Amino acid sequence: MKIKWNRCIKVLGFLGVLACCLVFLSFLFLPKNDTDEEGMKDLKSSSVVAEPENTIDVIVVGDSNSYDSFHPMYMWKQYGITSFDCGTAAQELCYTLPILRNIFKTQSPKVVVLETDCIFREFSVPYQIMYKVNEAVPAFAYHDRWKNLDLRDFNFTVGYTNISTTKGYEPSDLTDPGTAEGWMEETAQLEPVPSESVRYLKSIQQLCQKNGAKLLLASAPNTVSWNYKKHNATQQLANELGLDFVDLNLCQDEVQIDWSTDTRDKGDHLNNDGAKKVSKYFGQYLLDHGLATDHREDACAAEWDKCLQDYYTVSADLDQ
Amino acid sequence: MKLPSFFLAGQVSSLTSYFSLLFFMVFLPACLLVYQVFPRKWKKYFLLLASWGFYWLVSGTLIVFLVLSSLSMFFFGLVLENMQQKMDAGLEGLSRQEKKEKKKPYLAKQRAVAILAAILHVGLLLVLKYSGFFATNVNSLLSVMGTGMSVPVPDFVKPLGISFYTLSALSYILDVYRGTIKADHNPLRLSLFLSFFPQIVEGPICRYRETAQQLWDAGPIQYDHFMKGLQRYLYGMMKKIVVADRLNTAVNIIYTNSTQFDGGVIALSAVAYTLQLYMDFSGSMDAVVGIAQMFGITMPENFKRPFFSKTISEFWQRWHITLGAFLRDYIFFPITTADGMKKLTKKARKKFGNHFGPVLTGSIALFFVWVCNGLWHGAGWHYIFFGMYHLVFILIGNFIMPATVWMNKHLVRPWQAWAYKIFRIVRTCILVCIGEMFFRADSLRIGLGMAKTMFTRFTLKSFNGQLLQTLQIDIHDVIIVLVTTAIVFVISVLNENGYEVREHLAVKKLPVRWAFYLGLVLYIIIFGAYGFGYLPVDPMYAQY
Repeated sequence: MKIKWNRCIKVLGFLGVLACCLVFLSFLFLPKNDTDEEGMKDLKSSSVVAEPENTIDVIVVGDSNSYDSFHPMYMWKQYGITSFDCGTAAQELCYTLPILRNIFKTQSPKVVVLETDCIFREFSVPYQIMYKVNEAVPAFAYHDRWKNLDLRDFNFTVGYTNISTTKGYEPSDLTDPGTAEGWMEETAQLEPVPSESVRYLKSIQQLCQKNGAKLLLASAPNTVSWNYKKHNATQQLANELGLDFVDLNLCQDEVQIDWSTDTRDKGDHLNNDGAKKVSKYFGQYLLDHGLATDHREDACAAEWDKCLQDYYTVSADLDQ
Repeated sequence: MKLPSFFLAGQVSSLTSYFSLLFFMVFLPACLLVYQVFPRKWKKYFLLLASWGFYWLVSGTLIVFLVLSSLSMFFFGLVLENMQQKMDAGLEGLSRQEKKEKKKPYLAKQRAVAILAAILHVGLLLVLKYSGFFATNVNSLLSVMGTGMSVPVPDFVKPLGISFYTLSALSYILDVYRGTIKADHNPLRLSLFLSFFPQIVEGPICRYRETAQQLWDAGPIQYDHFMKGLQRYLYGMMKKIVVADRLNTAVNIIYTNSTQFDGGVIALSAVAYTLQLYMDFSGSMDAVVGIAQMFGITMPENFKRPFFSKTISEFWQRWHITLGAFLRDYIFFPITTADGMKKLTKKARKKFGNHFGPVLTGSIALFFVWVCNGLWHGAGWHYIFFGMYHLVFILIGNFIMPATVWMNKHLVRPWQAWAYKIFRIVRTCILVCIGEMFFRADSLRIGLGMAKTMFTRFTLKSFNGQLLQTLQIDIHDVIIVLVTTAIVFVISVLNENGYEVREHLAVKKLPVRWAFYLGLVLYIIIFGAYGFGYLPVDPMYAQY
């Protein structure tokens, strides 16, 4: 087959110009601040980019169970632990990976806590491609910002200033009682783990290792989506990968979740009371295992205390 | 990857959209690349393999139905050919009169085989697609009669594209039966004709003589073909991703909550849905034709600027052309040329004259055509109503044709003719939009309710910012839909008037062409309704 170099150069030239256009558009469309008005995606969790560099010890990732169960401001108030919930609704592991890559650009957490419910969520190849493309070329992820562009966007200067008050946590004072009947009945059976999840979990583990963070698997109390089969499968996976796994569903004596008062939707998600109980136990666990330190005497304390004061205006679940 | 997933059987349903990331960034480039490096004599086999692979990834074991259809075509084609050869041998040396007499039993046998083949193919389609509808109606009838009995309502999984490939298979068998084509002795060529991956999801409904040999003889990818195909593909992508998918949410909200809106909004939804359907289906057809063109294959066109039609009849010669052609060739013509119908036409001609006589008897054939058209689209009374709705306007058009011809003849001034033409086009568009409203409605009752609201509670009071909020769109979405529709409209006007935009673009200098291509790609990237905040929308005709 005869290769027509002239034509090849033309095609490459065209692709080069297209690539330049996409780079330009990426700079143009990228939100210039982490605010809703600027069009930041997953704003609640994305605001971690505005935190001062290397000030967060604990990053929590996963689906809604992560930001409903782990209460950063409670852990700060109680233990002086600096943590941030970077979970998103129905998060898939193929999305967790780019989230963590972004976090490691500005933070050096000691531990990354992965809420394990998302391990069992299947995701398709197109989703994996979409997340990769969005990560590589933000023009695709933020293309819809053409609706809100203004002259400042052409300045290309990014400055994230919107410090999150809840640190990614979603406060909820709703109560919709659930039942613990049949919850965590012991069995030797295993819930199948999607092969793609295993692959991505290994990548997440490598990423954490590379950035000096420990990856810790943790399962938040949940009577609807969690069961013993999932526990067995996660424990087996943790053993295979050499990871620690804390199943809070089996720590009922210590955590003492009351399913008649601590859930907002019949046991599928915790409310503020449930989250505080989980965070009380889990914060102590992190300190006991050297995965977090008390920063209440450190330089960052003033900023965190200010956030705590702000948090009191957002939610009344913490005693002043 | 574990082997039990059996090579992702049926797990990659997103491939059904020609504009999904997986299709245009992975599957299509991989196919083009491997196809190009394959030696020429193996290219056809690769195309078949890729097509089967595509079907396997989307539908898994349902591929059995596709393969069985191919084998059935092959088998019945050979049987019919064999019978024709025997007939020719048996009639050799006989006089014309003797031939006429002796031919009858042979033809009867061939007809029986063709009917058997048709029953098998259409029967399978009926069972898989319509048995649920049939059982539901039987149960309604039993309930009305107060029998207290009911039959189980089956819910079969429909193989992807079965409505399309069944008609292609049927056309092949009937063409062999009629002797217009010879039976194919190569089952692989027949399989490729039936399962070629760009056409399997939404058609077009190809004829054997149009595409089978082209596919089998496909050669290396030519730069010009590839670029033209890519151009057409991107144009289709713009229609689908920018307009159709953007309208999807708003249209769904109105149609699922139709009782909550006034007549003005219902009328808007009828127009919006018609636009969505056109941009979706014709955009997908642009993709199909474009992808085939990249491989150097010319597929039949399914659209020819339908919204420039002056009558409903003309509209259906420009919209879903291959379905219309199938129904014309295999339903309309066989009925009108049947002996009984010929006699009836002769009598009607004597009684009602040369115009009304044939129109009257032709109406019987048209009735069956439009019942089939309606039913082909889906199992539901609203689809049958959709067919009858168009039948009524076509019949009116046929009956008043002398008056129309007289009008055209006597509008001597150019502006009168022009204004009359515009009037007819607008009138046809309105009728089409109303028809599509019934088509989209979830049931005939809902469709009739919407029509009633549109005509009895028409007001423009709801057209405000609140409406946009309810429909989950904003003014930017409206502007981009209007601008893109205007672009498609201008290109259509130019093409309609014989100015081939693509041909003219092809001879422009490189910077002009690059600017156009870049503009098109960036337009889709920026203004496309995809990614965060948008749900992927499957091709609308893939469900039929």
